[in-house]
Amino acid sequence: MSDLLNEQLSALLDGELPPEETTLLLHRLGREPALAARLARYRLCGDVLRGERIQPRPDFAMRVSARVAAEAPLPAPAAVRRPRVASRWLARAAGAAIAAGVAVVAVVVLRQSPELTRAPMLAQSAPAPAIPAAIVPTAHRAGAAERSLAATGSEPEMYVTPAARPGLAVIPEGTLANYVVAHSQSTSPLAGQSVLIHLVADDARGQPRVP
Amino acid sequence: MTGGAARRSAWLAAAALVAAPVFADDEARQWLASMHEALATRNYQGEFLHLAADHTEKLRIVHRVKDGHIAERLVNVGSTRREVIRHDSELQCILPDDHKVLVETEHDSGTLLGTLPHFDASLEANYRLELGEHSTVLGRPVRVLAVAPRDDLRFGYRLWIDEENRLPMRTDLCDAEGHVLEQVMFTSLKVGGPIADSAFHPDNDPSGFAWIRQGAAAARPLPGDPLWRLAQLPPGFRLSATSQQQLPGSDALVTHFMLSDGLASVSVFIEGPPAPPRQATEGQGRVGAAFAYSRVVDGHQVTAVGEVPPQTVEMIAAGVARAKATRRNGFGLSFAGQPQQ
Repeated sequence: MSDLLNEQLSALLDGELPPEETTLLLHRLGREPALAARLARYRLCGDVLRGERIQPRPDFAMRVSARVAAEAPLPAPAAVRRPRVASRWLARAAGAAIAAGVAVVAVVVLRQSPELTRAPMLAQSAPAPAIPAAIVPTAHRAGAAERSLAATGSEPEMYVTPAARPGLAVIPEGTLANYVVAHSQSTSPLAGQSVLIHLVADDARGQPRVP
Repeated sequence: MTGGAARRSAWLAAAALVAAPVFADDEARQWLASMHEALATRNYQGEFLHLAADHTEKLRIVHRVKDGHIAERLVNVGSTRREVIRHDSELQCILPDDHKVLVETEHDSGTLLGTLPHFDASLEANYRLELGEHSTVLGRPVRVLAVAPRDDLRFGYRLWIDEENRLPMRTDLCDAEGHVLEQVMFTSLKVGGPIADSAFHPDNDPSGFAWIRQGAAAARPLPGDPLWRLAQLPPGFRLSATSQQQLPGSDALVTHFMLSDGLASVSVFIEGPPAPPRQATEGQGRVGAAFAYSRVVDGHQVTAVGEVPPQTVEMIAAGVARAKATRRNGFGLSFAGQPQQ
């Protein structure tokens, strides 16, 4: 795949691809499953390298780095387009773009390393000023984050989706599917559709099963 | 200034501070409302990518409102071929990998407009709405809208809303800090025009599948239905509806409390006794960004489910308790603690 395509995928995820290129790329993503899968991997890589929350799985780093190694490196974000932003929350995409610079450093190192198991650490050793821009929390209710950390009594884990509390039993999937379907009937159209998407999605961890 | 006047002034100042964000942006709220209305009432069909932490799915959606009847079909056109087909209040989940069809019927009327959220100024006590830039997606002008939660008890959204038909061309689900959890991006979308009935026929042939339906007798009162207290509602959540229903594959009647903070909703299901046929459960669950927390209270299975962070459903479930039989309404619910506005 070309560097241009890689750059377009990165920019798309960061919300920074110009509209006309977005249109073309979305059409192409709709036609090419392999390209869509690649987009998802970029997102995953971006999350890891930004130090965001990743669900811990034993083979996680190996799988990510194996994929990275098998593909061309992410391009340097030389022509990053910064959108005009109305707020820090809207500016989140810009923060991600800054972090993309970190990603380049880490990916290059990863590809040279046979160990390939410490992506987040490598990201943290990249130029320091880039990281705070990506992880500065927006002003939500003061103390909320601290409280949730205090509740678990430990350092935040690395995960993309909010972490389930370890050590707790898991609701049987069949039971859960029933509840989720019933719940989807009473939500807003946006949330309801999102819930249904997950019911038909092939989510390896959360596949609903009926009894 | 008298002491009374000073107190009044302080109250007015405090009220002004509190009220300030509430009326911050009527226009943004209007965008959010019109987007929900478009999702529920327009005819549209298209394909989109769903990107989450560990998978990308390509899905197709068809949505039609004709003569007041809703038909909707959502199908995974990738590996699983799973489908969800809605005809008004009946929802069929076709799971070809399990050779099963799960059928759920919402017995309450008004599922179309009944679930359309009404966004009043109180929404902005829980979310900060901000209109962003004009842009285009798939060649169509869109407006970017950020819906940022004010705490970590709910998720937020960034939405790219079509300026003309108001459908969300792209949706980012985010946590309280704005980190993206999931993305939905349309790769093609056709809005308006008639849609044939055949568009809602399943790709799968489910005739040989096991159909798991709700029991025939729905919405009958349970003898000795206890009173329940939802004693621990997260800030901003209040009871929006109650019902009693049977879940597919179960004869047990379930009491269903629906809570909402104006945008996000959480369901609390209370089952039994008699105990459900399966083993009682204490624990957590997740389907995508929908989290669940279940516990046993006095022989009843209590489960909170919602598209909110896990700590929110856990908080709600932990606060469910049987109340003393002092006061009773149709669904056996009473509230303790602070009244919900």
